[in-house]
Amino acid sequence: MNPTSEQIDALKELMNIGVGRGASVLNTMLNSHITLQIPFVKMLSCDELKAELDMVGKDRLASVNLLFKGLFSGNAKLLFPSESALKLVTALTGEEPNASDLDSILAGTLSEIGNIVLNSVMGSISNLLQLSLSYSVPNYIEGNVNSLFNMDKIAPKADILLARTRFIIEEFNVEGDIVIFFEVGSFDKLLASLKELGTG
Amino acid sequence: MNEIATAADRFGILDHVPMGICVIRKDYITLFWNSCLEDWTGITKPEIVGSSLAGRLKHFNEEKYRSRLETIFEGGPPAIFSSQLHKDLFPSRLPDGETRIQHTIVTPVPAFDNKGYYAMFASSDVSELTHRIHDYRTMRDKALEEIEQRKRAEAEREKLITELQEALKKVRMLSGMLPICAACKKIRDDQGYWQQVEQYMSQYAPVNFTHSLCPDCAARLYPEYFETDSDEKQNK
Repeated sequence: MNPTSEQIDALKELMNIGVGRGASVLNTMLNSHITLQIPFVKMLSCDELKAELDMVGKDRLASVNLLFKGLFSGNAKLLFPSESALKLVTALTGEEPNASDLDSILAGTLSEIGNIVLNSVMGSISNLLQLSLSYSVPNYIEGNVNSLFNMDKIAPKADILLARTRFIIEEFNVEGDIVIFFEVGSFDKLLASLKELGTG
Repeated sequence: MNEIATAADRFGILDHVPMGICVIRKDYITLFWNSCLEDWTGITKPEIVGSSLAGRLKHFNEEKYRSRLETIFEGGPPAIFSSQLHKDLFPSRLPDGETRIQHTIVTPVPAFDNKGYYAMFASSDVSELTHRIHDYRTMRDKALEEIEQRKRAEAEREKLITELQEALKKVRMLSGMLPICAACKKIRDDQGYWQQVEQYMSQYAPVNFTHSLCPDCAARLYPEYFETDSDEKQNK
């Protein structure tokens, strides 16, 4: 099922609501005001995903993964490019980690930030679908793009949704990108729900 | 069996786990508190089980915890509370008096009556790891600072060597045979040009010239004002 441009817009809106909630939670926890926005979402095939990942960069990335099961099953993955990861943690905690180092303390902090954003987005989706999903405990992985995405395990016909997320912390004049991927068997259920709601 | 007794029965095995574990209901009533948390916090099971966690540990009333636990009670995804942002979710001291630093994951557990969810906290003690990382960061920063200092010293040394080599080059140019005009005292340079002695010298040595007259030249040029040595002797 190929989404129409209206459905893509609706998905973008849905994701923006999710990351907006995530930003709101982050703002209750932190001293700096953070804004999260999703300028665009894209549906990708497996081949397109490879091309998109090449654009994300060859550097070391931090990734938070959340597996979910139910009528709508899949994997939500949030990628922090190293530069963005360090900017975020520095702005949010006031500690200035070394640029070459994503150590265990930072990994914990990034896990929590990723967890908040992904949970908020998943919350928006599951609320819309009125579905009860079960979730795994989020895990944190670092590595290059190839080690974070096991292409062999992604079903060739899987639907992949990419949401490029921009974070802005005005107080520190810091901006950066986070990339959210959803890999599911099919987005048909979600798109059908959007249609039923009249938003797609 | 009431809810608390059921919790003790179902979760009792978690008393043997080396992590702080507690289970709370949507109204924050503590249903289970494991032995590890008793050891860490000094709060015993009878003291907290059956009473509000937020009543005992006030920070759980803060919005930053309430908003995230709300989604857990609805069966949402697990929530992570990292050590850097929360330090000690369950206030606890190590034997040396330092804060016990914790990394906590909260997961939803279906309620016994299948109406809603409980929140299960699983907290790991990451104090040792955190201290080791801080030690490592300190050592790394010190090593990086030393490297920077060495680089600066090396650059200074290189600069000094260059300056000395330049100076030496000039000194060498001033040594050896210097062709000079026997009459006007101009000096012939490497290209064969005749230069005033002042002009030549100032190219190869850090000298400035000030001009005056020696007694002999003064007497020769201005005899009306200066006497020569021979005049002085005659007068005597």
